[in-house]
Amino acid sequence: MYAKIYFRLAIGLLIPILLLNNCTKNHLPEPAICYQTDIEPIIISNCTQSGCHNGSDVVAGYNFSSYEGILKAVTPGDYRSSELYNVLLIPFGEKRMPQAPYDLLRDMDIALIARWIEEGAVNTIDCQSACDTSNIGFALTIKPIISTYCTGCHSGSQPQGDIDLNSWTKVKPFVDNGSLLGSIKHSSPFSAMPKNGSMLPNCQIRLIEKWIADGAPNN
Amino acid sequence: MRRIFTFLIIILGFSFVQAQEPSMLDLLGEDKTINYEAYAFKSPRVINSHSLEMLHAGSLDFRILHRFGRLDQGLYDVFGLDNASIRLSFDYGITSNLTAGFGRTNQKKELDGFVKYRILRQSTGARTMPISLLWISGITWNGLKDPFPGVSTTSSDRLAYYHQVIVGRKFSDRFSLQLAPTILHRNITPQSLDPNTLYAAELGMRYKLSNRLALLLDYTHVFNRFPGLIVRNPLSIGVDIETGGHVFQLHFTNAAGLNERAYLTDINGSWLKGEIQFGFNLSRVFQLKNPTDN
Repeated sequence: MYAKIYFRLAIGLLIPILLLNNCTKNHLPEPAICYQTDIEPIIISNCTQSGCHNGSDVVAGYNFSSYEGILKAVTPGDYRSSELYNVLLIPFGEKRMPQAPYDLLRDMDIALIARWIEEGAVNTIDCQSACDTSNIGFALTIKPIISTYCTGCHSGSQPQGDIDLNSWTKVKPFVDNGSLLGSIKHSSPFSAMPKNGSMLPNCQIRLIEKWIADGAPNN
Repeated sequence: MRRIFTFLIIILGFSFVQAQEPSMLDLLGEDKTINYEAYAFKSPRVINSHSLEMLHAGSLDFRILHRFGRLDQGLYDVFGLDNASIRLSFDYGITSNLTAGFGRTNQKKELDGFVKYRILRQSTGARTMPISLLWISGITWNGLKDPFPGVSTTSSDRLAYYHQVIVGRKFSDRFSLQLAPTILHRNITPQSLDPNTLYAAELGMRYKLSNRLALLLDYTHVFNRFPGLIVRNPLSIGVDIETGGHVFQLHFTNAAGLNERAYLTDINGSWLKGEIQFGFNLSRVFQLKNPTDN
């Protein structure tokens, strides 16, 4: 009997896998990248420390304190052959960047740099279009940001610090006491969030700020 | 008395002739016995990946897979014991060369199913075959109510497929090794640069320390991971302990995922930074049907 059931299961699995192999090539929508607010801050904070790729040290001939300097390590339109991307993948050794004891970049920062290069490594400064604060809704704008950055720790049966940010009603108290904005803007006395990570991209902070200024509606 | 004696002689003589038959054929070089290698791995999974071992015909393998939270979370979470992900699965040996199974993971409420077929089996004797060769196809389905919050998706976006060929050999009583080229397709990826189709190769090893205890290694190298951080490739090291009908696999791994899509594509921890977790697999095999073939 079991053999029969499982044989049917096997056939039932094989047919969709092999015959109706409904392969699509989708990806989740991505916000536009703004060099000034998304890329520059990552590179400035991770690469231009004293003794590294800044204007006075110019280690290995690279000065990353300007767009032109960064472009020297970049092949616009091809992230795989860009030195700036490739050094970030090295996990250990002398070529590792940023060098120890500095932390490696977060995966999402590396991914962002890669996509910026792939899309042409454009020097976008006027980023109003990239950060559209005209139409903010909790479900559409704020919840996805919180899901990306916060609910990894702040949800579930035992949320970190007993702070659960899984729904509007649970988020609202932290809006009201100012700790949500204080934490993501890394202003004291609030505990800086995301913990052990770099700050949220400026656009995301601006979106949350605007939403709170509008009265943090549940829309 | 004499009759009985004659009868016995006839019987004995007859059985003698019968017993003689195979050895006479031996002399002619027509030994038909094939000695199949068995127990290259103790269970049909190395740790996360499929192994070259199959279930016997008619046996049901009930597996409970557990991965605790990250060890680096410290004592507050009892080094990860507070947060566990779990997969329950039922695999059944339809024949000795064909297994089908399904499982469910609590992460992403994901269902998965697979079909595993053994094409070649390592053997000596009448047919010498130096390796075992297996083919596996599987599918995973994301069962969350809203799998990608804020994004409208089609039902096919929930699916991922994988195909795998395992080439492996039991080199000695103690040591087995397998290599498994793998292709995995996700219908949706989180990022545009993240390739939908991933190419990978799995390396699985088992080294037996005693009759009940063996060391295991399971590493999958993903060739086109994005971003291409090799420290994110799933690496699991552990032991399997056999206790009667159960096989316990205790291990440390940087992959929280419990099915092929999850452990290959989800963001795994980095071994270098101690972002690993403790996990165990528990396997209980029930023989539901008397084995008719090997």
